[in-house]
Amino acid sequence: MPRLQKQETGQEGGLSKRFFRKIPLSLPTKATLMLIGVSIVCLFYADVEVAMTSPWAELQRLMLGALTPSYPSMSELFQAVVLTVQFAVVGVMVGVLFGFGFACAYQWAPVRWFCALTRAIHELFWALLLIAVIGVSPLAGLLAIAIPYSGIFAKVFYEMLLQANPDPDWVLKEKAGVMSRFVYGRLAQMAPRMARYIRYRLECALRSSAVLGFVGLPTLGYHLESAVKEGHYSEAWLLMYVLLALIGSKKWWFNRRTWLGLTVLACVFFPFLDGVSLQNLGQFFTEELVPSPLRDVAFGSDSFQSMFSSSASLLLPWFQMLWFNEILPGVINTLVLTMLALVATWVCVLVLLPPQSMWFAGKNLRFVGQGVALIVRSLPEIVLAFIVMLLVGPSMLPAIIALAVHNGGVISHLLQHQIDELRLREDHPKGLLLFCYEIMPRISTQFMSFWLYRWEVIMRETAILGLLGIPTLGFYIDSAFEDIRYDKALLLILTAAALNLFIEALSGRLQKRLYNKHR
Amino acid sequence: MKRTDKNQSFVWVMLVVLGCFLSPASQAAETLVFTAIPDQDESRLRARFSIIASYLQEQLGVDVRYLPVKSYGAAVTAFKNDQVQLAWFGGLSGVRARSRVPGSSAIAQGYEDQFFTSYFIANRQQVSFTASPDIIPTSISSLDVLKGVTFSFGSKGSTSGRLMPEFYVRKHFSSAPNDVFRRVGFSGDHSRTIALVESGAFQAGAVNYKVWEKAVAQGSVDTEKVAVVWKTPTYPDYQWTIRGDVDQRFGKGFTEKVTDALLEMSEPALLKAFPRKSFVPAHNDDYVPIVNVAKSVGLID
Repeated sequence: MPRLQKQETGQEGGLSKRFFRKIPLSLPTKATLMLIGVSIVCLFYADVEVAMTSPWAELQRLMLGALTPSYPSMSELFQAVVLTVQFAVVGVMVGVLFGFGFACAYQWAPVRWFCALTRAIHELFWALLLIAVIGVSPLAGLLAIAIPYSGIFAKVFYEMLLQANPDPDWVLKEKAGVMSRFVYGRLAQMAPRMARYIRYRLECALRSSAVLGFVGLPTLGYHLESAVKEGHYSEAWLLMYVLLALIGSKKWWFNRRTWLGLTVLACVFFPFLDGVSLQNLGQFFTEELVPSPLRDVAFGSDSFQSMFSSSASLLLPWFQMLWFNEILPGVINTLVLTMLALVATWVCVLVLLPPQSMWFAGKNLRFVGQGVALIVRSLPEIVLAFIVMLLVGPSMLPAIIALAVHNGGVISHLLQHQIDELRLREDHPKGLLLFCYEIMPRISTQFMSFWLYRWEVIMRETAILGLLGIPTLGFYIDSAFEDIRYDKALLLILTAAALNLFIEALSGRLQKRLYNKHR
Repeated sequence: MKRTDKNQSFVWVMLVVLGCFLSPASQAAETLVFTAIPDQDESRLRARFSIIASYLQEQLGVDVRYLPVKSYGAAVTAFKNDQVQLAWFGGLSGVRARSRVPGSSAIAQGYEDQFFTSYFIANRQQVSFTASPDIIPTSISSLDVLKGVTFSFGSKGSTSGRLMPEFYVRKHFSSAPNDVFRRVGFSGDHSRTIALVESGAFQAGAVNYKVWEKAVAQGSVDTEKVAVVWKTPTYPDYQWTIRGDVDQRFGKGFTEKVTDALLEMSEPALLKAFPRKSFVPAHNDDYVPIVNVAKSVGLID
């Protein structure tokens, strides 16, 4: 096992190089040690405790629900399925369109900042913001999915394009225009990977359709959320099965032959203008987003200078209170939780990946492995966290486990195809040797990119884990929205976006170094 | 290839059906839109409240549509933006909505909402206290046993699961819940609070009394494991709130017409949607206690 770890984390060695140059250890080892060190430091601050629980009554109900799935209204269910698919398809496609555009301009810092901001906001909060701006309408629900997704696509596409082999581009340099070089030199190489990522995003959109419940459109996610929340487990499980079936069968209904037709149809029937009202747009920006101490303050004909100083004196206590009560503890808790969840995710990927790949598993084991990955990545994190919490009580632990298992499922799923497409020499080693010294090094850049991107995801998702009582940034953002205090929400969201940018800069540097080393 | 074609056609059929569902309903110029968000049972809201819509349509003589919005925040925003003119709000969300829409008023509340109450419940194995199923303690000093336990509220925006319990915790201990309890969570739902306290994941919690009594009656909670520690004094909760400008839009006396229609609602099938015994008149002043409590807790400015 130590060998395996070495090979794995070693790929991040670039950053630690400067600090550890004098120590006579290989770069991968140093990086591993650094990562472990950071997690150990985090462990001191981590809020992990195990409560004595007797969860069996609730777990029994949960299990019983799994065996007796039922739903009272079939027509409602059918409508939910159709709506869910429609919104997912339109949402993802709009996201791809804009995401691709942003990806092309991603080197430009403002675009990067903008995308980080869109990604820092959970879909649920996008929905609430958009409702305030354009009214309760299907369009608000659609944009709540499409806006953060375009930010995500922009980042992922940009990184994928960076990872393309530059040789074709090099060859074309003298002979072709910018466009052709981009399309044939880079895009063509990465198109299959991008397509796979789009398919995966579609799966996410199916899951996150709960958002649309906010705008009065009852989708699968919406019903599932209510059923789980209220403990109607038979209903919840039936909805889960339907969702699993939809996700599991997506390669049959969303593939290179059907995607265009599906998209066109979904768009044609989409009620883009239903219920949209822009009359409150101005009010939202001039009232709701203004920090509360500054509202209803009449500046009158004061000079600009006195206006500035008086508003600063009003704002400072407000900001100070927020900083000490919410931002600072929120950032610390978020960093600790995400760091630990990230390391745990990495472990989960290593465990979940081999059984899914044809290099390591027979047909039967592969079926089981892929099934498990499908289930853990389809189950809403909140359900996983709830189950773990029943067992060990509330603390960071259920959040770490739930997030790690879920994200481990996602990353291993995304990497599995890539592994299976690798071409190995005929006398390649087998088993652990193959995994450690051939497969992992070859997919490490992609692994890193997905893995570090998950940091953001984990941060965003902590918003919905309020039931664990861990005050992360997401928890405070959720509270601000719940109290309808958009001014406060805005400040907290900007903090989250800044954290996103920081992590992105870090991962960008790591990848650049890795990339240069490979050349 | 054959197989794909088949699947493809299935998708097409599905999407055509979808078109039928989503084709925008013909809307008359003046449609009264209402929303309702009970925090006791969020399932199948649309099925439950579409019958209320047809009842109101019959009584009022205008088109009435139900907008199924589930989150408190979204409902308040919709009310503020005039996308709904009438809404069934909780105590706190009603106060928030009315403060944003000048002229709006509470017109009716459920019979039970005049004296709503919350229960503090605790796990009997983890918190030692004497509990009897018949007499629920009403002296606030019963809360003393909860000092230092792990505690779960319901949803963050709920009156009965958050606002009133937090108010009494602050009042009795003179400090914030975070300082009184070892850990504070927000389960998001009353039934889930009960489940969490029963399992011992949280040692204590606060719930809506109706949800607790229903769970006890249905036997879905083991009263050997969980019991009520204290019952809060009563407070006003859910109410119908209407915008002030409806008289201009729907004709003079429309507010009274709506009020009468709500108060006269007597069919059990209709009342079950809320679920309430009947509706009684209500006024903005009835909710002054909620405003004061919310201000003291810091949930509104």
